[in-house]
Amino acid sequence: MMSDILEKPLPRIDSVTHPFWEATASDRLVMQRCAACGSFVWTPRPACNECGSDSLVWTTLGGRGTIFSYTIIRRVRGLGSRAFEPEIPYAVIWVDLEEGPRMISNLVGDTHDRVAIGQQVRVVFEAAPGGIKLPKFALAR
Amino acid sequence: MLFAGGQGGASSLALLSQASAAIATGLIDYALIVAADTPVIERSGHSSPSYVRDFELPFGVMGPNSMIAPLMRRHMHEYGTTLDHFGKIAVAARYHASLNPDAYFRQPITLDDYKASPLIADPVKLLDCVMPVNGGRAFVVASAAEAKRRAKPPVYLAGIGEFNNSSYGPRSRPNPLVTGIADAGRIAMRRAGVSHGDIDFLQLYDDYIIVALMQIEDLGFCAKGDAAFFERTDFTIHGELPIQTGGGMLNCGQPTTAGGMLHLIEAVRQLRGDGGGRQVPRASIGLVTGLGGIPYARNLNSAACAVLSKEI
Repeated sequence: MMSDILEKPLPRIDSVTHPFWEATASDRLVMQRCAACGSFVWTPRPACNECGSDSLVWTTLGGRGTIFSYTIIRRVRGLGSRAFEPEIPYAVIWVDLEEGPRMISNLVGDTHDRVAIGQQVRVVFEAAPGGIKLPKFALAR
Repeated sequence: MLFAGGQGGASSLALLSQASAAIATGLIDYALIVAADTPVIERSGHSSPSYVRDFELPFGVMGPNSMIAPLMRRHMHEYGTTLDHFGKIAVAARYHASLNPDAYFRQPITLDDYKASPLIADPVKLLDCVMPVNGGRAFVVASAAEAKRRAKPPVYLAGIGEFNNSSYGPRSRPNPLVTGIADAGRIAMRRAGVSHGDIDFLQLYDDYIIVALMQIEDLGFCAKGDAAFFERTDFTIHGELPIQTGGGMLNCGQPTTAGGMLHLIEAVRQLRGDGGGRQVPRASIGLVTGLGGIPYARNLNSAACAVLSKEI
């Protein structure tokens, strides 16, 4: 089957994003924060998208959050997507992190039937090829 | 002069705005606005923006369906919006499509058909989604004096507004349930000097049912999450607030950016009285919207709104 040979897309690590992926590789969740106005900046950028300052500091986050919304993916289309077919159905969640920013990720484990808005979650780091770890979330106890 | 649209589904209205400004200042006499694309092919080497490549695709976020679905889920959670409310829009749009010989999907549907359509990305179902198609459209803009000399009666641009890169709340955590039409619509209506009661129909950018529903709220026809409004309002051409009078993109398909031109062209047809079996009675003022671009965990990126009028 075609899907057997397809690989899931991986992030391309570049000069802006490498501190993020270096942190996740050692099981830490970090995010840029603006030294000028205090805003969190997500996804990573060269400058603050609130005030324009380029004084951004990578800040470690606690990795706890609440599900703001979610979807259960049941169909995929397009070549890059077929590698996810074996995972269907799976949950894509929007997590409001305790520190404020909202992140898109997945709920891990066979938990798609228990996902709900308001659920507490905590970050886990899932190994992917090439030494990359993807920040995902598990239901908090 | 050459203009290029870069605002996705809002491009047609953004180009109308630029063309009308260039005509008003005497730079040009006419503008031909063309949109066409062929999304229904196997693409290779397709490149995504870096935030999509790095922070969406590796998490199995499969394009618009999986980005719009959390908005619909959150709207249901926050306001108690139900499938009956979404379905009412789907049924009205399809009814209009059944009266439009140029629509793709012409078989009328019921609320039960909507509810029973297969889930794609909960709670987005097949009948919530637009279908990609290959196609193209075009329209011509000229000064009022020039346009009046042509064979077809002109339709006038009464007011237009744009709102790009909107974020309602902090950019790292905005309210994603507000479209930029909240601002673009207000600007367009103010410039046109019209209020809600003056508007005879809406042609809403409709890549998804939820996107059309949010715009009805954001235009101020009702409060956010006003379930009673959606229950009592007749959105067909026989009712008090006709929408998607030719079936919308939902039933005519979306040739990517060219999809957004459908709504403008349908508004022109209605205001010329060329609506045939789907003509809105006594239509003299119509409102058209466009939305484009799906950023990370926000509502759509670019918004444009135009008020068109049969008379100056």
